[in-house]
Amino acid sequence: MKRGFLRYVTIRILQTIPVLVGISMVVFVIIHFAPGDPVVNRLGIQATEENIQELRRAYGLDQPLYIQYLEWLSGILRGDFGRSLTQGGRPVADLIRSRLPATLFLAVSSLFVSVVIALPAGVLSAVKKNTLTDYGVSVGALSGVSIPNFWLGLILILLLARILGVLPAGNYVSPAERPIAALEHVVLPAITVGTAYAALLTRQTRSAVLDNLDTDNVRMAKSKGLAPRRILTHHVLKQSLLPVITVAGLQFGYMLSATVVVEQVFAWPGLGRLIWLAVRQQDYPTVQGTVLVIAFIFVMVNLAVDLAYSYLDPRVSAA
Amino acid sequence: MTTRSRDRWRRTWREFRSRSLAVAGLVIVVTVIVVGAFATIDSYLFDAELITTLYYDPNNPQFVPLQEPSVDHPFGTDSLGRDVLARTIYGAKISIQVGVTAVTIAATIGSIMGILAGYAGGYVEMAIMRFVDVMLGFPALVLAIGVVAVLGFSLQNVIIALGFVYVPQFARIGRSTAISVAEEEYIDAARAMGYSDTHIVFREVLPNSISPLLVQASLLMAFAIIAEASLSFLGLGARPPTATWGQMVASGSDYLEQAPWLSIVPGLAIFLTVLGFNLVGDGLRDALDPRESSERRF
Repeated sequence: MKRGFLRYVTIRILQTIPVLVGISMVVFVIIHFAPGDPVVNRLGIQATEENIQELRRAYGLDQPLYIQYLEWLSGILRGDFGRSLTQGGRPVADLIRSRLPATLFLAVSSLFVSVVIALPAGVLSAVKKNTLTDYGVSVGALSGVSIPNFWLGLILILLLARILGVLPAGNYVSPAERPIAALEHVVLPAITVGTAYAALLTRQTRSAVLDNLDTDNVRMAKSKGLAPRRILTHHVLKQSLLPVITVAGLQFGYMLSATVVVEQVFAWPGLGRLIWLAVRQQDYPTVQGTVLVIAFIFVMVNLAVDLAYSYLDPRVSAA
Repeated sequence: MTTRSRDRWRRTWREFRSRSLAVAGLVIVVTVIVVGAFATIDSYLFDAELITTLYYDPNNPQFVPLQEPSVDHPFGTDSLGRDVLARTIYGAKISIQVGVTAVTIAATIGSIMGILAGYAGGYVEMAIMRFVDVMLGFPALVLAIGVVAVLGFSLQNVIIALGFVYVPQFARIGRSTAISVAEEEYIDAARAMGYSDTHIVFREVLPNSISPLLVQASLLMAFAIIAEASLSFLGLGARPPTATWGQMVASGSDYLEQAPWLSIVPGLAIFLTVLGFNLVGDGLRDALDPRESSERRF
């Protein structure tokens, strides 16, 4: 089994490489077609044709497209994402590095919120299949995926921050500096991002538990007279966690998309706000770098989940 | 349409009708479409007369900003004194327009790519599916933001961006159904009878792939509408004064305490519309295949 797993890990990692290369190509090509000439923008309208050509050569913009791509890619691999066209020309890599912690903190908190809601709700709904409870959970889950997150965020701010005044309306506090305050500040944004995700996970948990309630193992345990609660915790839940984890990973992109929007609502200084500002200011190198990093995170989370899954369930890597 | 497929659709409809939530979703969807159509007719046929005179008249001295909900203005007025109900009605038109166009683009390109991949196999399949894998490596909304960043902020570009980012979803489904259909005996029979590949793809494979594609289209409508609203909320969508729900929520957020209806009403409209499409999509999927439900969809 060990051997099969290692082989599987290698294959999966190798499979990820072309995807990452493809992603970098898509990002490069999209931004390449951005309107406006960066050289002309930089020099202003008074620039002479010679000035323009000179700078073009200096930037390598006179090279064929694939050479430009390869040079850009080799820069990325060395951690050089170019410089922002605004923000005082700071390196894009620095900008991303300074914003990443806030986004990761929000994503992890949201994941926590959604799991805390989804697991009990999904299990309850499965155990009480086709009852009013199940019906209620299903409708709740469907509502959860249908609520626009930015709107939910505003409603939460209005009710809990402005009217009741029990929680701060976002505003990131670094968890490394003031952990308690950081948690207080992340509650509302995390609920906002986590709701739709919780809804997805609830549905997945329900169907996974239902599948596992209907296995020979469970029938056997029942016939041995094991207590229903014990059957649930020992046989069903353990088995159900795998598909739930997988879906959590596959849908992580959904969570990343959500943070981009929700960071706006809560003035959260993460990647979402960075990309928003960059898009508004047509700061293409920053857009390029941020989109690339977000896609990279997404692919890596998928890979990690996949490997975890195959480690926990040897049938996958054996197949 | 053959009798066989007509029977199948009749059975599907019967199944669908027996699900009260699905029917509720259908009622919501039809209502929003009718309201959106009304706004369209209004600006074309009545030259924006009806809704304008009913709800919004800049020459009217009663054109007061931030009015509370009243009989004249059931959902109050916004910071420029425009009627929130009238703008919400116009927003329905935009949402439906974006959703339908974007999903149609994605469905057309995606299903052709997918069916081609599934039917042709070999290098064609490999090339198409690698492209799909790459596309799926991006969170959809983030890629859409990137595309809009380059194309510029407009309604049309939002439609193009969303039409582009949802291609892989349809390609995947198109491929898997094409593969399963291609294994059926009647395809072998058609081939033995000397029908061309084009004939087989369009007359046999495509009609049999319709139902899963339809389910996906309905569910993606829900997504496209939320995505459009999100882009508009971020100020990356249609330009003011065009009324879009997302942008209405955003501009209302400046008056959250003073005039909460400004954000609440359009947000509610997004929520109900999206819920409607989700209910229809779920109902359709269960009706088409009552055995399996709650698969992954995002």
